Amino acid sequence: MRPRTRIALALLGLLPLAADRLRSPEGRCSYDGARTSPAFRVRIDDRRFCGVRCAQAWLRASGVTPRSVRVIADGREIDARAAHFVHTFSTWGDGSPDEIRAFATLEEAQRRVQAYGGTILTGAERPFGEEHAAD
Amino acid sequence: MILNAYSVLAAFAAALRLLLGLLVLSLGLRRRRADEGEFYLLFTLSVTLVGLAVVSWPLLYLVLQSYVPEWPRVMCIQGVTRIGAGSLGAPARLPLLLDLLEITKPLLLFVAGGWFVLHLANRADRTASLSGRVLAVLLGAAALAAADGGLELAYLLIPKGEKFLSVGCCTFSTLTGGDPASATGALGLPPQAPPWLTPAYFVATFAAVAALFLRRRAAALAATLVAVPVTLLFLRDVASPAFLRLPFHHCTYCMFKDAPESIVAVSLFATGALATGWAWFTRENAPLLHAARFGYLASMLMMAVRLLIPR
Repeated sequence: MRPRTRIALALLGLLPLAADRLRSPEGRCSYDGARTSPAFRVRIDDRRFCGVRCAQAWLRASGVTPRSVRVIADGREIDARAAHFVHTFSTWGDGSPDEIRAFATLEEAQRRVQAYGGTILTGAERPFGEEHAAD
Repeated sequence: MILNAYSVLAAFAAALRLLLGLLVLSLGLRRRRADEGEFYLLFTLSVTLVGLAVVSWPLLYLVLQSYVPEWPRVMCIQGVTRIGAGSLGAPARLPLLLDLLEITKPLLLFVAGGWFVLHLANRADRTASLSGRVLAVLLGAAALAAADGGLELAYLLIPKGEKFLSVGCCTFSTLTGGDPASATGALGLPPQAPPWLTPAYFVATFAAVAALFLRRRAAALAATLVAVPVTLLFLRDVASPAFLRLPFHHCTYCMFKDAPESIVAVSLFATGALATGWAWFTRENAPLLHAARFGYLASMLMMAVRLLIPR
């Protein structure tokens, strides 16, 4: 093998290493790599997800038992067990990653359903387990 | 038709391929009666056709990438490839047209490149003994270019007004078949890479490299025929999670978008596979075999380095 070929091979071999160092996963969903929006973000331990469905899929795929799951509801981050989830039919144009919305109070969730349709998820339908009072 | 700079350029290039393909076909079929002037016209048109064939492949993906923002919950080309599925009329044909284009593009590049290799060998031959083969391969390339141009034009012109993608995230669509019925259920597990896939990729590619070093063209071609489908699976199920650092994300399109160095690795593999095939067109194939060896080796090296980087 000629020296020129060896140098070219070495440089190409280093390329993934260099590219990996330059790339930052900040602001990306830990499941599918999509950009996360602060309005719909879900946090499981130290990982961030673009929405409820990505977070659920990651939990199922990884088999991890999370210490904490936090969702954005009405603009603030709360424990997922205290949130009320709505499966909405209206997702167009709001930049949402999926059709599940989180609300801090039951009244807010009901208002959403009355205004835009959808169903409040209860029991086994609830993402991230049963409802509990906030910690 | 979705109008943007890429789609207009692609439509122009596709129309040109269709026209030039038909022109080369008609000129080539009456080649025996052609005069010197027509020969040069045929050659010039053929070179243009080869150039268009090369450019049209990445251009198609640029067009598809430019379509991504058209649908709010489509996040990559994988989502665009599903536009039209389940609809009625012409838009229902969009996924099939794209599937066909993903076959005709590399095939056209292979045949057009084969013609060019044969043409160079024929030009170096004083008796021009390969003229018949050159013309036959050229006619094949022209027919393929016309078909490819026609298919792409049809894809670009068919309206894409569908606004009801079942799900936008490409991973969910792959996993659940796009079932929107349940928000919380039916999230299937990601397709894990079968344990044989990574060894199969390295063994098949290494076998091709070894055969090329030993100048065993038949063995190299056989290894390439195995390596190509294995590599396509490897790219989706092993390389893309590794390049993206997302263990459950199996999408080659996202890998190309978010880890552009993977395009280099895949292009090098394609160089290896194409050059191995082109080496069959002529006996004077040392540069082609060298290019094939280099392409395979470099691609394998990049993949190995990527897989070895700790997460």
